[in-house]
Amino acid sequence: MTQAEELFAQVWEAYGPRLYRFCLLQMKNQADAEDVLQDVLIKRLYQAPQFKSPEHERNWLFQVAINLCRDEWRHRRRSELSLEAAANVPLPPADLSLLEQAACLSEKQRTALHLYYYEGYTVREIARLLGVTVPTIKMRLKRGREALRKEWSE
Amino acid sequence: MTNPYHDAMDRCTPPEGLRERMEENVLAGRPKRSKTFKPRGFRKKTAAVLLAAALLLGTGATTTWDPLFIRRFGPGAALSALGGAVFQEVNVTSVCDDVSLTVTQALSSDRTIYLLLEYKLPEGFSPGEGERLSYPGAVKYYGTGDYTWEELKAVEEHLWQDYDWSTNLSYGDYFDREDFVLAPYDLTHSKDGNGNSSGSASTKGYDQSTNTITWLYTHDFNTGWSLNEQPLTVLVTPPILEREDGTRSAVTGHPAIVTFQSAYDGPQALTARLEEGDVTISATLSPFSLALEAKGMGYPYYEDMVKDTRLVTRNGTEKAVSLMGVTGGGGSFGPEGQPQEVSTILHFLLITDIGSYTAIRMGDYEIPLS
Repeated sequence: MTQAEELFAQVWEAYGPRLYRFCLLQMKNQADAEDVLQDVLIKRLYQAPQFKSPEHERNWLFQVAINLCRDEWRHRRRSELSLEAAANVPLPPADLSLLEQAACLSEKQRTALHLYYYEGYTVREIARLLGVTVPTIKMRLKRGREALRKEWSE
Repeated sequence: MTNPYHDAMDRCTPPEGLRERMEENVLAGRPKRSKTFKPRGFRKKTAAVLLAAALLLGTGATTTWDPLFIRRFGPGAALSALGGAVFQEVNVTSVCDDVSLTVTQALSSDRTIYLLLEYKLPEGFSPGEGERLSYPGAVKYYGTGDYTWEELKAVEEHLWQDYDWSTNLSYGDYFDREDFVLAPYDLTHSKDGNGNSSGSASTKGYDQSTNTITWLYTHDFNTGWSLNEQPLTVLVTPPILEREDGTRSAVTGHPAIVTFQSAYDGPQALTARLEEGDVTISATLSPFSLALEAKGMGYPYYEDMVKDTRLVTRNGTEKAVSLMGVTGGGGSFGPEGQPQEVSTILHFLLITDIGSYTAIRMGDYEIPLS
C-alpha cells in the first residue's frame, strides 16, 4: 500500500461517509456531492497543512467542504433532485420527509443544523467555523428547528 | 433525548461503490502544484494600512476648520465634498447677563451635531493657582424656534437662585420639572417613544487672554427629530471651578443659552426596519453615525450586535461596521436572564458617504436602507 493509499484509507474511515452526507445535503444531487467530496479529499491528501489534532483536521475538512459547496452552487446551479433520488437508498417516509425539509432550509440554516445535530459541534465551535457570532448560530438553529417542527416531533 | 435528524441522516448511507470511486479518482487526481490549501475561513486577513495625507495641512480649505475638528476627522475631511456639506461657520453669540456663549463652528447632519462652544466667563473671573475649570454638568438641545436668553430669563429667573449649579443633584430637578419652559422642545426625547441619543465632549482649554473656555460637544439624535428643521437652542449649565481642597463652585448662578440655525447640505439619514415574528431590527445611517437596535436576536450585549452587523455597498460587498467607528450602548435581559434588547450608536471615525450603501445586514437579515 502506498503512502497516499494509506492516507486515503485513514481519511475515508474517519470522515468519508460524514463528508458525503454533508455534501449531499448541501448539493441535493449525488453527482455534485461526489464532485465536491472528491475535491475535498484531493485537497486533504495533497494540499493539507500539518494538523495539530484530529479536531483541527475535522474542522479543516468541514471548512473546505462548506466553501466548495458554496462555490459549486455559485458557479453551476443545477436542477435539484429529491433527496430520495439523490440519496440513492430507500429511506423510511418519516426520515425522508425530515431530510427533505432540512435540505429545503436556507444554506446557512441547514449547515448550522447539520453541524449541530449530526456532527455534534457546539454552538461556539460552529460560530468559529463559520466566522459568525454565537447568537447568529443560535438564531439559525432556532429558525431551522421551527421550520422542521412538524417533522421533528413525529 | 432523541435526535431524529441524526437518526435519519445516519440511515442515509453513501451509495455502493462510492469509496472505490473516490479512491480511484483522488489517487489519480494529484494536483500539479501541491501548495498547502487554506480554506477561506482560515486565511489570515491582510491588514489595510491608510497613510494620512499630511499634504492637506496648511491649505486654505483646512484652515477654516478648527483644529479640534481636523484632529477628530483628519485633514482630508475638510477638503472633501462631504466635509463641505456638513461644515458651518456659525459665530453666533448670546450674551447671558454676566457670561456669554458663542457657537463658533459646527459640523452637522440631520441627526448629529459637532459643536464648538465658547463660554466667556464673568468679568474679572479667572482660575487661580491650583484651580481647574471643568465641563458644564449639563448640555441640553432644544428645537424651540428662535428662542432668546431674554425670553428664558423672563420666565425662569425667579427659580435659579433655588438651585446649586455646581452639582446635578440639585439642578437635575430643575430640568425634570414638568413646567420647565423648554421641556416640550427637548430634542433628546424621542418623538415616538423609540430611539435614543448620546453625547460626548472634549475641551480646547481655557484661554486667559479672552477669559474663555471652549469645548467640542457631540450629540447624536436618534429620536426622530431633524436638527435642521428649526433653530437649535443649546443650553449649558455653568462650568465648575474645582479647587485643590476638593471644593467646587459654579462660575455663575444660572444656565446660559444660544440659538442658531444648523445648516446641512447633504443627504438625509437613511433608515432600515424589519419586524418578523419576535425579531425587530432598526437602523439609522447618517454621515456621522449608525444607530442600531435589535430585539429578539439573542444578542446578550450590544457589542455582539455590532460584531454581527455589516453595511452592504452598491456593488454588493459588505463592510463590518465594527471597523468603522466607536460605540457605546446598552441592553436589557428578561426575568430569567435571557437577552431581550440591545441598542447602540456607532460614531464613525470618518465622515461617511451614506449614498454608497444600500442595505444593512444583521446576522442573516439583510434590510434595505431607504
